[in-house]
Amino acid sequence: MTLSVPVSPKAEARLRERAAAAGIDIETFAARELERLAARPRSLAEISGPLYQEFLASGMTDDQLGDLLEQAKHETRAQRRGRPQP
Amino acid sequence: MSSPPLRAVFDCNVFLQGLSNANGPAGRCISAVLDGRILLCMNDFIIDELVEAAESPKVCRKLRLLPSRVRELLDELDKVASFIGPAPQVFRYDRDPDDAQYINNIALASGAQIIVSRDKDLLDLMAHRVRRAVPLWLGFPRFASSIRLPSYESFRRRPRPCHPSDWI
Repeated sequence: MTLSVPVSPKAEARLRERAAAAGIDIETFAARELERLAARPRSLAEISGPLYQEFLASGMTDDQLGDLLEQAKHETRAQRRGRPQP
Repeated sequence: MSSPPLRAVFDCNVFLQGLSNANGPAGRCISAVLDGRILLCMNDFIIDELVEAAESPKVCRKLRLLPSRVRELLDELDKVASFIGPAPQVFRYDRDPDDAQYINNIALASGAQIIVSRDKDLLDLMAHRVRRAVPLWLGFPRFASSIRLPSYESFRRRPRPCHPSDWI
């Protein structure tokens, strides 16, 4: 199937840039991106790989993991607010 | 004809928790997105928070989470999630302005039905709506509480950003 779709000049420039960086023409790059988007997503177990084993080895419960992440998120937010805004 | 999937917004920590424990409730939330049972609504704010939180020394040390793993998850979510552009600030939450981002720019703008989070500041908002809150159908434990949102238009009709107390 061949598609013809309108894209903004900004998007075209960005696509050309990324295609050039990958060493391919824009048509091939766009087709690959569409193929990638149409592909079935991998399962979370495939994506996370050995992390589950690491989690088990840590001895933490899922609730403790959640608390750790919440604490880290709020610390990160506090640091961000303390930084001068661009 | 099947009904459209539930539209949901996940706190950035749901992704990190799910990556570490794919069998836990957060992991089941992400799997539901990857399976197409939930339509995830995201924006740049969530992605930035997720990447920042993943790079936190505390998280790196405890979870041995590599940035590449987060990137892989984002690549997969890119196939199934709905990405939301900038939206006007119609909701204000002084207790934690960053939490208002989840509501303003993502949940209201995308028409999401639930926010999944274990953030106390966000969950306390639910208390205002507790009578109308609906349990998430995957049967998640308490942290995956749902916040039912009013329509975006009802917020937009208000002249100024509103407070949680206006939300009842």
